[in-house]
Parts: sequence; C-alpha cells; structure tokens
Amino acid sequence: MRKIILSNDKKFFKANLNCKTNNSFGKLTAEQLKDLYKSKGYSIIAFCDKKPVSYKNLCDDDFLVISSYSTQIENYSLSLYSENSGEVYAVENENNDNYDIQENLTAFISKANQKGFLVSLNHPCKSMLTYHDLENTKGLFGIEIANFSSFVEGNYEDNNHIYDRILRSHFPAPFPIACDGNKNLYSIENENNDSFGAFIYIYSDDLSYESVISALKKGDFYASTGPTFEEIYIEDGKIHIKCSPVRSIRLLNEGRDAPIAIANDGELINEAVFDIDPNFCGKLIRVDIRDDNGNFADTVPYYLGKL
Amino acid sequence: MKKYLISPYKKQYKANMHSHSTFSDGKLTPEELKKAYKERGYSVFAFSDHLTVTAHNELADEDFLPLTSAELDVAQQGDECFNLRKSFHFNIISRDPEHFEHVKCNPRNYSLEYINSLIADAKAKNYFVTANHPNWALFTEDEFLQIEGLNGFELYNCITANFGGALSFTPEIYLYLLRNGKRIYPIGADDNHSFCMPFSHPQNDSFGGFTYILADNLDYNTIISSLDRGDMYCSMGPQFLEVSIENNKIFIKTSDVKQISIIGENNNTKAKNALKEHNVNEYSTNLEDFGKFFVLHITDKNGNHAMTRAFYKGEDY
Repeated sequence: MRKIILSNDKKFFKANLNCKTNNSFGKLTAEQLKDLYKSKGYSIIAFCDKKPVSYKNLCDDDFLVISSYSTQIENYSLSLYSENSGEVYAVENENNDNYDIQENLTAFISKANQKGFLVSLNHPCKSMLTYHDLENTKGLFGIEIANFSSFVEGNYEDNNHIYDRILRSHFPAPFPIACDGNKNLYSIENENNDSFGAFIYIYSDDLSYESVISALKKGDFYASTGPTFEEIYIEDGKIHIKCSPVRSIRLLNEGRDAPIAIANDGELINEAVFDIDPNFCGKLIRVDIRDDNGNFADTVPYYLGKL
Repeated sequence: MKKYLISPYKKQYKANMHSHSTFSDGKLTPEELKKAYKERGYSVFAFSDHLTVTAHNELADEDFLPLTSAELDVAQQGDECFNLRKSFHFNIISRDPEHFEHVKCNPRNYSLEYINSLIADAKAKNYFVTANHPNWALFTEDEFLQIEGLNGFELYNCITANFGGALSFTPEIYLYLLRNGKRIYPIGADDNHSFCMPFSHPQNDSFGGFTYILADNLDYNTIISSLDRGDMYCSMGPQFLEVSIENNKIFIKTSDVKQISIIGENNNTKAKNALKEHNVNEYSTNLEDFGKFFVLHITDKNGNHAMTRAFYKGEDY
C-alpha cells in the first residue's frame, strides 16, 4: 500500500520565517517587505524583530503574516511564532543566577509553549553552537539548518551535521527550517542581498492562520535554499522521491552512510528510489537533495516506527 | 612589509592524503593509482592502506612523491548495524619514507583512551597524524576535543560523499577544535577504494578532495616540513593563489569563486560575494578583530569549498 508523505496535490506556500524589519536590524518596513516577498512568490512571512507585533492588517487572501518576534538568551538566538493571530506579548525570561543554561533555555521554551509560541533556534553556526550546547535543550519546534544572511556574511551556515547529531539523541526532535534572516541593508540587485536565499515550503489546505500553524506543528513542510520536492511516498518498503533537477539525492538516517543517487557528470537527476532498511537506518530517515550550485533541500525526519 | 600567508612564489603540490590500493581493500594497484593521479595533476600521494604501514618508494619520480602511511581504525562493538556504531579512523604518515616502525592497532578495542594511546604511539614513532572523515565517525564535537595529538583533520573525504552518501564537508568540527586551542591543519582527501569504476562513474571516489601543499620542491623532507608547518589547505576544487598581509590589510587572490570569506575565532566574519552569474577572484580588506586567529574559506559556483589553516595573530600576522 502506498503511503504518501509529500505530494504536489497539496498546495505549497513559500515562507520566510525569519525576517527583520526597520523595527529592529532591518532597513525596510513590514509593508515594503510584504510587497517584496509577495512579488517573489512568497505567501507567508514571519517578522522576527525584538518586540512582538501583530501585522494582521498586512494579511490578505494571498499573503499571511505570522505573529512572531526574536529574542536572545546568551548565545541562543530564538524566533518565537505565535499560534494565535491576535495581539502577542513577549515571554518573560526569568533571570536565574544559578542556572544551567540549557535548563534555563528549556524552561523558557516551555513557558513560551504554554503562552502559545513555537520556538525555533536561529543560525547555530553564526552563534558558534555545537551539539553539546543543545543536547539537553528540550521543546524546540525548529532549528535553522540554513540561514541565508549568515551565508552572505561568510559563515558556513549549512547546519545539517549538528542537526543530525540532535536527531540521534532527541525524540521528538525539532524540525529543520531554512530562513533568510534578512536585514536588506543592500538592494536586492546587490551581491550582498540577503533575501530569497532560504525558505520553507509549507503544505497546507489553505492560507488561513490556523491551517498554516497546524501544518508547521505537524511538520508538513520542508526546508530549502533552492531545490524543490515534488513527491515522496513509501511503498513496499521503498521510498520514492521526485524533485527538481539536482546533482544528488540522499536518504539520510540515524547512521553515518546514506543511500545516494548521483547524476552523471553534465547531467542532473529528478528521482530516486531507495530501500528502507530499519537495521541500517535506525529510527529515522530524511531526504536531502543538492543541486549543481551547492543549494540543498531537506525534509523533516520520518520516524520508521510511525511510517 | 608584505607578509605572505600563501605565497604565489611557492609551488602548490596537489595531494591525495588518503587512499587504498590492492594492498588492502582498494581495487587498483599502486601503479595504477600513480598513473591515474599523476595524469590528473597530482604530485603527492599517501598510500594509506588499512592497518599496516607500507612504503611505495619505488613509485617516486621527479614529479610524483608517494608518502609512506597507513590508516588505523577502532570501532564500537555491538549487535547494532555498523552504520549506527561509532568508528574512528586516522592516518599516520611517516616522516621518514624508508625507516619506520609499525603501530599496532586492535580495531575492536574501542575507547577514547585507546585512541589517544595509539596516536601517542604513532607520534613517538615519528608520524604525522590526521583524523579521517570526522562526520562518518559519528563523534560529537566534544568527543573530538578529547582526542590528543592530531596534526591534521579531514574537512572533506570523497568516498564518504560519493559512495557512502554522507554530507562530507565538516568545517564546524574543525572550527570548534581550533577555537578550543587545537593546532590542526585542514586535509582534503579521496579515501579512494575505486569500488565504482570507471573514473567517470558518478559514485567514483577519486579526484574529489585534495590538499594543496605549498613547498619549494618535491622531496620527502620538504613536503613533510610543509605539512608540519601547515603550509597547505584543503579543497574540493577552488584554489587560493595568494594571501598576503600588508599594513593591516589582507589581500586574497583565488580561482573563480562565488564567495571569499574570512572567519574569525570570535566568529566575526567578512566576505566578498559575487554578483549572480558572476565570480570573484580577489578580495582586499582591512583586518578587523578576528580574535586569536582567522580561517579563510572560499566556495565556487558549484558549491565546492576550500579552507585554510588558522592564521594566528601575533604569529602569522
């Protein structure tokens, strides 16, 4: 029997979940950013400035603004996404002098969750975080496996390795997300433009706040800096993957090696089929695709016990 | 006065620092490997077959230098599939091509203490020691931090990418170790076994990762001295052609790339990006506060990387 994980039958909404306006580090207003991102095919944006602001007035039939904000706890830069579309208020971080930072962080995340926020970790590479800085942190909704503005600044902000280490030890684990983190200090024609380089595609029935938040919580999305997935399904112990033309398709898992399909030199591939061997893969699989420009896309983890 | 960190007046010898031949589980003979790599511009080649140091000095000529070496390994034991168990591999490269002592290794004896004792033994016997395919090891950053005595660190390993399917480029562990005081140098290597042939096979594991060693000539002692000084950088394609500092300004010249970046110990970064569909190949900028050191990183339009060693304030500039 075929189990469909991802299909073009659903609507895909392109989203940037980490965007700075001129209310914090950015140069453009929220209105300008909506126009800019909408013109480039985006349907969803989250303005992650220092204070939470509700931009309900910017929402329309084709564009949704997720109420959100960003905060910093020591080295951890966090984005908080409200599950409610109304007014939002910042979550207080209780300053505890005698604390384990990850205990404190987990307590903050828990408090934020109770107040109706999903909490995501921004740019771990830029923040110089390692697996050990996160191994005891619980409750994160997401981790940026790509942050475009951090790439532009010169960091190698491809965080798939640290994400894999977290996947091995955390269950349930945060989802991988990709965001711009854009400040737009330069025009979009400039080589230092930090917009449109990393995004997630959310598959949702519609663009209502409730549906999109529900999709995020279920992990009905994938992260990308370019390539796209078209279909993923499992049938008779095999995973079938169809995507945009890429150089490689990998079935990452809990272990070191990943079944891989690579294109011949000068060619690209857009599909692959892999056996799913639980003894080899461990408790989970996820798909990574990479194009000829070094851009990549990654699915959320699929737990073999749940497939 | 101009100081060169990568001098355009030194030759850059292309090296594969990790390989396997028919002397262990590789499919090609040392002669076949020499021919194939030499044809493609390689000058230095570490024959690092499993567990036993072997010299191939008969293959040396004025344009090709074999390095006497071996790969040692230890692996977690257990009932789980090997794919899920930790396994640490490292290369030992003899500083003397002909006179060397073996390092006895029991691959089933897995512990960080045992790994450190093997490395200490190798160093006492005059070997240059490099950690292989770090992401493949399934170690965390802190587990690598507990390993003592490494000289080199593979940032890219071709077989784990092309054949094993892993995401092989691992700068984050390298930077973490540097930031925690480890003096290690970046290695790029194939770890070729030639399971998938011909060389044009998409999963072939040759010519994908290499180390450029900067030296005046191609004799064994000179190359080893360059390795010991860190006069090298790892690459999957792009090249550093010149790096110099003068009057607190750094000048970097490269092959065509889409980004040239300076990554500081304190994670202050500076970068020059190319316009879409264009390349950059030069970057000149004032040196800012990068902490105790900085590392240079370049990425080409195909997503191939090259990375240098750490250049230390007060020592290198």
